[in-house]
Order: sequence, then structure tokens, then C-alpha cells
Amino acid sequence: MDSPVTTTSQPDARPAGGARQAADVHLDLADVATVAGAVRQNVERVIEGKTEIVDTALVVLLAEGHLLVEDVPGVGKTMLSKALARSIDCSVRRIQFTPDLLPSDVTGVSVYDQVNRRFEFRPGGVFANVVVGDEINRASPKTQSALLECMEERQVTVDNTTYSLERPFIVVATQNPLEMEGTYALPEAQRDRFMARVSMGYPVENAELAMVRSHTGGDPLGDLEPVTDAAQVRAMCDAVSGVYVSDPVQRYAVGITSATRRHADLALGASPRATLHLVRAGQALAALSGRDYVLPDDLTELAPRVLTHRLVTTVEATMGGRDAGAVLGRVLAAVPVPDGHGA
Amino acid sequence: MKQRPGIVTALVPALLAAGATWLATWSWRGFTTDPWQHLWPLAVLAVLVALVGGLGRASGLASPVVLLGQVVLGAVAVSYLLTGAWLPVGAGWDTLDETVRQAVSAAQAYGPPVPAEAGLDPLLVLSGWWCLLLVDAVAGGLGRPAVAALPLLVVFAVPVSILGSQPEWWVFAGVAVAWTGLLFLDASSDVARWGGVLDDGDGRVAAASVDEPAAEPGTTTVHGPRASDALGVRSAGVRATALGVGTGAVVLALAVPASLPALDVHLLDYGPGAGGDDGISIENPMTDLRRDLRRRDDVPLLDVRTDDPDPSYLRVAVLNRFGANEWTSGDRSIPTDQVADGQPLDVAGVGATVDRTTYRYQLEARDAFSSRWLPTYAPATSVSATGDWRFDTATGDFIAADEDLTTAGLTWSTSGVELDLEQQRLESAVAVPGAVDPIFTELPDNVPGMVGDLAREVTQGQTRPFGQAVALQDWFRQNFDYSLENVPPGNGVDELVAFLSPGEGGRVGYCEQFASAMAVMARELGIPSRVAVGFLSPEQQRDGTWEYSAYDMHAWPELYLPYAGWVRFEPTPPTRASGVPSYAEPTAPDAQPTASAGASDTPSQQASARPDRPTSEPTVAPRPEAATPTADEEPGVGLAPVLGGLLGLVALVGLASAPAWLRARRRHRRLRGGPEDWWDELADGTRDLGLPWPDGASPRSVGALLGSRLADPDDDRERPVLGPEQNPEAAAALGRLVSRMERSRYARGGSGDGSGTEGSADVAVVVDGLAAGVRRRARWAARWTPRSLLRRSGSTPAADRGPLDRVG
Repeated sequence: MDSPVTTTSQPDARPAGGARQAADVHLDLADVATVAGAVRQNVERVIEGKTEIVDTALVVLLAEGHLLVEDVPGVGKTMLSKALARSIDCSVRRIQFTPDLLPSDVTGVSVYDQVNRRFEFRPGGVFANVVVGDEINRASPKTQSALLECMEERQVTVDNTTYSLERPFIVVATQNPLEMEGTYALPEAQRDRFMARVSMGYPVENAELAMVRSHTGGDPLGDLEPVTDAAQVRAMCDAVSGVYVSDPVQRYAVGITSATRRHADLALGASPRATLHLVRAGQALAALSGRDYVLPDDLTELAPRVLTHRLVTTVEATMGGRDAGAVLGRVLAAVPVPDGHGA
Repeated sequence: MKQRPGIVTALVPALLAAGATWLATWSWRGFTTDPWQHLWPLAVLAVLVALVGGLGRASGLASPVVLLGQVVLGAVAVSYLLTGAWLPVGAGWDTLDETVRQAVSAAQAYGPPVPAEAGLDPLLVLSGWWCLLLVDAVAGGLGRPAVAALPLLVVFAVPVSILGSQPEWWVFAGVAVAWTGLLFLDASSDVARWGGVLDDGDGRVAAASVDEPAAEPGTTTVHGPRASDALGVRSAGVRATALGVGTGAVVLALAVPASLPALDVHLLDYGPGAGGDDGISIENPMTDLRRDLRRRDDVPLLDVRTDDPDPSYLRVAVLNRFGANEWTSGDRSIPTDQVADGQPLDVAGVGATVDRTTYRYQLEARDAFSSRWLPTYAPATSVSATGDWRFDTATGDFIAADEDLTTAGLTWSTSGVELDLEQQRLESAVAVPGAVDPIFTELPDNVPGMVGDLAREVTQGQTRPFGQAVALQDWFRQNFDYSLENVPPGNGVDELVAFLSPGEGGRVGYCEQFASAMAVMARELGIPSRVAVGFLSPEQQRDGTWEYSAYDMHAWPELYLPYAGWVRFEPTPPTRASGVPSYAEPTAPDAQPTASAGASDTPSQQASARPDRPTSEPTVAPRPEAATPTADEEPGVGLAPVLGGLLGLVALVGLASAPAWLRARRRHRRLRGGPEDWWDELADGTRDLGLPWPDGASPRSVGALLGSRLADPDDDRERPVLGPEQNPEAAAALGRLVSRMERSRYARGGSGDGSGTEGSADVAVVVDGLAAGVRRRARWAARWTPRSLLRRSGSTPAADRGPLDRVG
């Protein structure tokens, strides 16, 4: 493997020009739930017993965010990403982050074509619908930030030329726990760009047994057939963005994030971007439930996955054994749900 | 609760409740001389109330409707019973109005027992009818037989407080038995469900028990399904246990107060008697008299065993000196040989020709009666008592010579004579100056002239001492009012003048003022006089003995008349002392249509033995005539308190049901609203039951919490199993409510079915499901003392913002 960037599906990654493509398929919410259910079912054929993780991945996909998967090696982080990509008939690229990975490996580079006597853009690993960034915290900060910039802006600028990334665009980055050697911790600002973080965790015994059985019989990933395509996913994303977020729910989202900023145990609370991510994820979750409006309960359910990785606890809280998850749990218990009786 | 009871199930408790109330009204018998005049109509009304109530409830009518029926039909019956007209309209109304007015004026004019002709009974019938309605409504309509004891207690207690006498034990026992039966019937329907015999809710006993009569033909009639459903528990063992528990509880209720020395409770004549602090300690007789008459409770003091058919006027002490401030016993110098050892005593000043009847008395003082004066019947012919009791020949008093000698616990015997004084001989007797010690005619210098003027004016035309004395006595009895209230205590010159003066606050007093005023006026006329303090008339006990109590204490004047010696008079008006001595009766009673003649002629149960026998009325009696009311006049003590008490009770019931009414109004208003109103109603219904309602939680999480609290309404266990699966109907209703609420709050444009009646029905189903999961007491509290009323309606509770503030 001469390049850290590998393409597993549809190698003809197009440096698509122009703005976001308009949805060429229209879907209503019932279809969204149906299609999402099919994708979930497909992915679960490979990833056993991790419904919540798969759901989160779907939520992030439909909310057009990016997912950070954090866990020890070998629990199926990459498998999840690949299964998700394989279920959707779209382009997938995997970037193995290593300390010597260069930013241009991610974004692409302009190469002088001696035949045509002009510079030609060779797109990097980020040009795909699903980008799997393996062990993102092994790369140098410079390379990390190149990826994160693409994630946020959904475009790549090389030599004064801006190349838009095709929708859907989701980066599924995996990260080893910080204690492991040879890792560069993601800075807070960059963690903030991920909509959600999940931790795979070891499978339960039965799930692991089932996994062993299915994997010994061949490559389960290879048997996966796409159940949808990029155009349909785009339509789903558009439908999700139309899910209604009522005023009490908006206030509830703001209430949660602002409460984290004021909490004594938190050195850094959730950013306004976190609020946006929370609401968007809420829209996606509501759509997955076939609802066209967001409930406060959606936000409460998503908040640990959407907010925890952005919070930095104080030294006192860490010494006292209160990690970010526990503090967020208390914040959620304390923030009242607006009851719709006005402000 | 909403299930219809069977006819027997509804009728038996209703009859029992009405019977208990009617039995309780037997304690009102002392109010009139012919109690059957109100007991019969009340019996008819009791049956009517019970029938209408029982049948109404059996046919599934709502409690207010049943009550309305009872009121309407009862009003017709009352109208017919009192006036003879079925409907109180037109002439019937006038008659009814007149009848009730007459009854009210009779209640104000007469002290109990009111003569049958006075027409008091309509008032009693009306009061009894209200009590019947109240007891039936509480026991049957509300299904709270335990609470029905309160109105029953009022019915029972009012006569005790007014008449001062205790109702017969069997009235109490009967009411207690009937009420315990009510409790039994109420509890047995619950108990019956614990065991194997199940009630299908309609009062019909389920199949297993219906089979039994076939196996045991002999028991068919008794234990048939319809007969047994009224008495839910069929097992003889359970009934025996219930009987034992009921009897034990009643006995305990009587025995425990009786055995506690701290409680001065006298139930059915049992009890510890007067406690140590209730003792009557006589040092200055007049002061003690005043205090004892104003006591709250009537303490028995003395027991007398005698052959005297009327042992009235037991004298404790004699006051012979009138100073500026009060009557005192004066100085006594008593030789050591004048002791109460049974030696014969002289009766001073009585003519030799006067017939005498000697009676023997055996007196026993209770520990509560501690006096340094030994009570005797004057004139005493012999007294025999242990201890150094000395007698004074001038007064006939017996005084303790030892410092610590008192009558407490003492038993002594005495004999006294009753003089058969002839009125003609008395009238013709002429005063003999110097016959007695001059101290009996001494008056202080500061007695105003008006006293003497008044005495001469009253006795105008009378020249002989006896005639003057009778004139004085009659004047007091006719022109003065008896009252213990609003009377300045004391018997000095100032009080005397105030007492004798007509106008505001004047001419009202009690025996102390009457006795001292008559004695002073007699001295003004030159008649030797003194004031005696003692007991008026005892109450005969069942064993033939007589008992004096604190309320019997009395004061009367004794005047020295030639031929008769010291003669007792009775100036206290007939409301207190109904009879005057036979020798002092007015010569022409027909010519005096006044209170004296009228009241002393009034037949009274106690006075039937002898015409001059005073009644033993221990409390303040109403004035015999409807006098013009004055500002400080004591309200007519008769049956007005009964009315007042009943009205108060009705007001109390109204007040107690106000929270439930307010809550019902709020509920009604909300259930007509939208999802938010339904949600608020659900919140209040939950809080009413004492369950937590998480403020600031989302509808979905509230729904999850409430779902875990649902229970099956048919689960009668003490701690029902909780959970949404126990009551799927309520769980589904809860789910619909949550979903409506979510759509209303969070969906686009508040979409969702925000109208219709399903929401309100769902709220009711959910609250019922929640109520099934809490204890009975909590359900009761939710109904009668809904705590949600204490919260401000429709506002965001302050608690909602609290946590957010704490976060920072």
C-alpha cells in the first residue's frame, strides 16, 4: 500500500465542482424511517449488538455531521464505518492516519501534467461520501487540522481553487484512547467539530460468538449489498432538515448547553456549535422515529453522545471522580423542560 | 364506589343509621314532659329517611339526588306531622310558621322540662329530622359511617350540656351498638373480598357460595345470596370476631377515661370521681358558695341517707354579722363542752305548741368536700360526729375546733325537726324585742336610706313581722331575675344598693344577693335576721340515698319570728328555687298571676313529692317570662343551643366540603379545555393523591413515571402491584395524553386533536388508575383535602426555575 488513502468502493471519486447538488429524489418522513431502518438492519448484520452505536451513526449521517468513534483497537470501529458505507451505494475512502501523513494526502495536490503542460488536481482521501479516518490522533496536528477544515467547510481549497465535496459527506474518525503511546490528543476546538462521539465497547459474549461464526464463514462485509444510494441519502438529509423544532425545544437545547458553560465542575462547556449539532441530531432522531417534530426527550437522549466529548472538566472535578459524562447527567437532570406556557 | 349496591345492601345500613339517630334522640326526653310527642314523629321521619336513602342508593341515584329526595319527602312529612297539611303552602305555611314560632318562644321561655302544652316539640322534630338527614348523608351517601359518629355525638351530647343530666346508659349503649353495626357492615364488604367468597361488585355473592344452600337446605333462607350480601361476611367466626372487637372497643372507650385520673370524665356514672384539685374547701362559706355555683362541672359532695321524704336546705353555716363589705360569720366563742357527741340540743324560740316531726339523717361527705363547718339540718336536735366539732347555741352552727379537721371523708349522723308552723299563728305573732342577741339586728352606719325606704314601701300595710317577711319574699320573687352571669359578686353595702336599684344591671342576681338583701331589709324593719349558707335540694339516687353536688349550694335568709324561732324564707326567684316554705306561701295565689305563683304551680317531675319542694335544677335556668331583652341579658338557654349546634354542624360540613367543591369546579373547567388543561388536571390529580409530579420534566418522562404508578382498581390489596401492565386501559390513556401533549407543545402549529372529550375521559381513567395504587387514606385526602388547591393555578411553579439557577 503505497498510499495511505485507499478506496474501497467506487474508485472514480469525482472532484465535483459547483455548489451542493440539489436533491434529485424527494422523500417524506415515513420513507426516511423506512430507508434508515433498512440501513440499520444491513449494518447490524456485521456489527452485532451495537444498536445504539449504529443508530448514532445514522443520526449523524442524516444530520450531516461527523462521527468520532473512540475505543481500543479491534472492537470494530473500522468495520462499522465500512458497513455503513457499503450499505449506501456511495464512495468510501479510508485514510490511515500516521505521524508522517501530510495534509496534501488528505486534501489532494496539484500535479504538473507534462503532456498537457498544466497543473492537474489529484484529489486526496477526503473526496468521498464516506471518509473513514483511522486513528486520527496518530497524525500530526497539522494533518489533523487539514481534515477538520474539510469536515467543517465541506470543501477543499488547493492552489486558490475551491473544490466542493459531494453530499452526503460524513467523516467517521476513529481514535485510540489518549493513554496509548504515540498519540496526539485532538484539541478541544477540533473535537467540537464532530457532531457525536461514541465508544464501541467490547461486544457481549453472545454477540462476539455470533461475530466469530459469521467471520469464519467468509468476509461478511463482502456480502453486504447496498440498500440505498447517495441520492436517496441526500433526500433523506433534506427531509430531516425540515423536521420542526418548536420554540420550547429550542429553548431546552440552549438551556442545556448554557448550563454546561455555567457549571462549576466544567472548565469548558458546550459551544454554540454544540447547540446547533444537538438540535440537528434531534431532528434526525425524530425523523428516524417517523416524527416530524423534535421532542425534548430526543435532545435528552442524544445529549451524552453529542456533548460529552466537548466538555472539559476542572481538575477538582477530575480529582473528585466526576467525569464529563457524570456532570452532564446532572446538568440534564437539573435543566427543566420548558412547558410551553410561555417564557 | 360507582357500582350499584343491592337493595338489602343499601337498605340495612340506612335503617341502622336512622335507628341509631332516633335512639340518640331519646336523650332529648328531658326537654319536655311528654317526649313521645316528638319521638313518634321522629320515628316516622327516621323510617322515611332510611327508606328513601336506601332505595335511592340501591337504584343507583347520585348522593345529592337522594338527599334532595329525602329533603323534599321529609319536608312534606314534617309539614303533615306538625300541621296536618301535606304541603306547607298557603294556610299550611302559616300554620307551620306559627307552630315553629311558638316552639322557638317556648324554647326561650321555659327551662327544661318544658310542659307538653307549650309546643316545643316541632323544634325537636325539625332538629331531629336534620340530624337524621345528616347521619344518613354521611353514613350512606358519603359511605363514611365512622364520621357519622360526630352528628350522633352531637345529638347525644347537647342534652347533656343543657340538661346537665346524663342520659340513660341504654340510650348510649343502643346508639353505640347501632353505630358499631354500621361500621361492621361497611368494613365487612371489604373484608369479604379478602377471603374466598368473592363479591362480584353487585353485592351478589359469587357462585361458590350460592352452591352452599343446596348442600345445606336448612341454611338456605338465612344464607341465600340476597340475604347475605348485606352482611358481606358470612362466616360465623368472622362475625363473632367482629362482635368481640366492637364490644371490646366500646368497653375500652368507657373504661380508659374512667381509669385515667387526669381525665375528669363521667360516662354512665363511672369514673374516678372528683380529682384532688376539684375539692370544695369551705372556709368563708359565702365566698365558697359564689365560687362553687360558677364551677364548670358539677361535683358530687355529700351523700345523705334519711327517712325525710324531702331533705332540702342542708345548712352548712350561718352568717350573722353584716359589715360594710360583706356578711360574715361573726365572732363565736364556744365552750369546750358543746361538742357534737349526740347530746340533745334545744330548738330555740319555738313555741311549745308547735307540732314537730323528727327525721334522722346519716351524712357522708366525699373527699372533695372539705369544710370546717359541719352541715346539719336546722333546727338540729342532735349531732354525732367524730372529731372535735363544737356547736354554737346562738346559731346552731357546728365548727371544727381543730385546725386540720374538715368534713372530707367524714361520716356523721344528725337528727332535725320539721316544724308544722301554722300560718295564722305566725301572722298573729308580735315581735318581742330582746328575744335574740342584738347582733342579729345590727346594721352598719353606711347603709343608705333607700334600703330602709324600700323595705317599708314593699311591706306597706303589713305590721306584723311574718307579714312583712312574706311581703319581702314575694317582692323579690316577683320583681327580680335570677342569673349567675353579669352579676358583680359580693354582698356588701355597695353591691346591695346596686342589686336593689332598678334599671341597667339592677335587680338581677343569685341566691347570695337575694338572701343578703332580704336579711338586710328585714333588719331595717327590726326583724332579727341572718344568712344561712348550705345546700338547696339533693338528687335522689337509685339506691334511695340523696346526693348533694356543688351546683346545689345555696344561700337563704332566716328570720327570727316569735312563736316559730328562726324561720327560713326563700326570696330567690322560682327559676332557681321553685318552692317557698309552706308557711310562707302567698295567702291568695289566685290574686297574683305572676311568676311566683305560676312557677311554683308548674308541675314538675321532681317537685311532685311536695308542693314546696324546690326543683333540683343545677344550671342557670331561663327566666320564666319572656322578659324584654337587655344588652347583657343571657340568651335564653333552652333549645336554642340545639338549633345553633346543628346549624354549626351543617356549616362545618359545608366548610369541610368546600375544598372538594372548589377542586371539582376546577376539574370541570379544565376537562372542557385542551391538552394543556388536561395535562394540568392530570398533574393536579396526581399531586392530590400525594404522588410526585416531576416539575420541569418532559411529557414523555412524566408519562413513564406515572405509568409505573398505575394499578388495577380491582386490586384490593393493601399494597397493589404497580406498573403499566396492571392497568392497560389507563396505560393506553396515559400514552394518548402524552402524545397529545407532545403534539400540542412541540409539533408544528400545535397540531393534534386538541378538542373533543376523549382527552378528559383519558384523564379520568389515568387518575383512577393512579388512585388504585395509593392507600385509601390518600384517596380520601385527594377527595376532601386536595393539596393541588394550595398551588397557584396556571402559573409556572417557582420550582421550575430553581434547578437551573443552582446549576451555575
